[in-house]
Amino acid sequence: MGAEDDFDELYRACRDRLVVQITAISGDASEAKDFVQEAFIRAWNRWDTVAGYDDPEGWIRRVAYHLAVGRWRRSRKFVLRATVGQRPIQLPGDQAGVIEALQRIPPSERRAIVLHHVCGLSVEETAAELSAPIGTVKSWLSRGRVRLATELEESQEMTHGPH
Amino acid sequence: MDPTDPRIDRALATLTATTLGADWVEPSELRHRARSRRSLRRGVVVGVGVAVVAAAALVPIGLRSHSPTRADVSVTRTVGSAIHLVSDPGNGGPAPTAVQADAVARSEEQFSLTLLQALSASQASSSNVLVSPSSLSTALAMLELGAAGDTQEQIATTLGSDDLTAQEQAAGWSALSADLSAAAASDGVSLQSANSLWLQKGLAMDPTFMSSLSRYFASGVWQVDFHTDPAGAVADLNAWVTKETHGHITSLFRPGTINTETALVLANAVYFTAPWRQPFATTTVDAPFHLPSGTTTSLPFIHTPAGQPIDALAFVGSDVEGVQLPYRGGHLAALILMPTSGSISQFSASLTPSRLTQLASSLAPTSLALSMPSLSLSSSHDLKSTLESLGMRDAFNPTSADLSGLSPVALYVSDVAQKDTLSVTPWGSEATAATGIVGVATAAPATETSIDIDHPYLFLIRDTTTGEILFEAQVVNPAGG
Repeated sequence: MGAEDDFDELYRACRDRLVVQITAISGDASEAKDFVQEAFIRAWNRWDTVAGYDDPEGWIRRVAYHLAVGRWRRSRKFVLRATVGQRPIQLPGDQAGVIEALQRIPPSERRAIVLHHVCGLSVEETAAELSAPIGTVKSWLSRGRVRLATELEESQEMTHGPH
Repeated sequence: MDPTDPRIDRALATLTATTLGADWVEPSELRHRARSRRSLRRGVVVGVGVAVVAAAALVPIGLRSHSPTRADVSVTRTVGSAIHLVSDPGNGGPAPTAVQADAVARSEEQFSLTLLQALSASQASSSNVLVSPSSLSTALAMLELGAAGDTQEQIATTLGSDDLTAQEQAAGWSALSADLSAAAASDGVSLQSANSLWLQKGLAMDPTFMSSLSRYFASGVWQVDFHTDPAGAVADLNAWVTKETHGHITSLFRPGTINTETALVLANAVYFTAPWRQPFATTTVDAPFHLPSGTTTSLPFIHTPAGQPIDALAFVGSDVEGVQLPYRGGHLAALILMPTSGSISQFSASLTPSRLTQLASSLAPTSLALSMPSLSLSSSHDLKSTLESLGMRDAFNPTSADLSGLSPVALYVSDVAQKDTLSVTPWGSEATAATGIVGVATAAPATETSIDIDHPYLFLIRDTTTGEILFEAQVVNPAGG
């Protein structure tokens, strides 16, 4: 199989989950799709290198993640340019609810939870990704779960009423 | 809900599998866009800079001395006599952040001006200066990852980043590069920065350095044999340079720079091409340009169409005139500063980051009739003495260089070379207006001004957000020289 086939297969196989993962961090699915597609463009420009990695998807997620949390995440100019004319992404209801709850917890806790529980990184890998000590990441994960539990419970109560 | 409640895990698990009904761009289109960035040929400005740091070993290097294989590096393919290695990026070190990117951009702006002043002072007043501080900084930041002790501190001080660790600086470059790439992609302009490490076959390398180089600089690693076939290694390296600069630079080294003593080469190549946001008239007109000698020379000038001033940011001060011309999308721009009294070298020598910021803040929306020379410049620098004059001494000294973070073999830096090209033409794009509509320069032009860039001037290609300077030219004679 040629390089183009490898690239196309990877793109089709993991683009959806990458968008959900980045959306869980940024809260905006359409924007996350732009970042994921941008990351794939950058991957193709250095495909000789990226294809040789043990985890090319991880590299692409890392690029998309940094685009999502970096300076350009805060620039509406970039987002507006990239998304104009495109149909907004509608996430399934259960995913949308969890992502909304995640947006209500502090960013450091949210990123730790998404990287560890959703992206499947180990605690050590999450700590490296977030440039934080392992103990701090464990604390974020623990506190984040408490807050997420509260947020999920409140959103369920709003939806279904108290038990 | 209890934080250990399994329903939390089930809720998070909903995020691990899905199929979105999204309007996906076809993968062939993504590949096409990637290629377009690499080969956008019609842009009005093509700037290319390549910086190379070549290090020589203090002891002979041979296959018998050191094991060439390491668990963290694997061979993927061979091209010519070079073998491409893949290094695991690992997960160590700080992750790139916007804070580090901003810090690196600030230090790079300071380094850019210092470098310009040093090069200007070392050259004849009738010579142009063209250099890519961004390319040089990147190559030196890679070197700093493998430096220790005074050697590392001197590199950091020279780069103006001594408040950052080498790892933080590398992370900052990584984030800055990602941001700039995203901005360029958003703007529809082509900005590519490529890094590579060329290793003597059999040279033992520090695995942490290799991981960091891969992680922060996405550096390709090539194994060659400087020891027995330096000409073949140079040919392979030049082929890489030619590819990454789209053929604008085909030969990087002075004869003899790469020889049997060479242990490794760290290289960075930057390629930038973009159309103006607003086009100039398609034809040039000959007009006089005033040289420092007091004479004038007739040169082709690009100019705004007759009776059709462009909307630009500009100012006319008592001793300097300035224009900022955005490229398509507006994130990157050419800042042109022309002193109207004193020499260009005196003006360059007076520039500081705060002065540059002050001048940039003087720019105001202007309805502008502009003319300036078309440019086709090239330059070649041996930057060893310049960097030594800026305080980076130990790295070049075989007895005091400490590159122990790079390899257990004693190494020192023998040469730092850079070649650059810059061309400026009238070209503009139909797509320019379409991408220029979003959130930029909404204020109505308040004045109508005419500026003729007909004296020596500075031409800076910079990030309008961070101030990072990609290319800088002190243009004394646009005809070259």
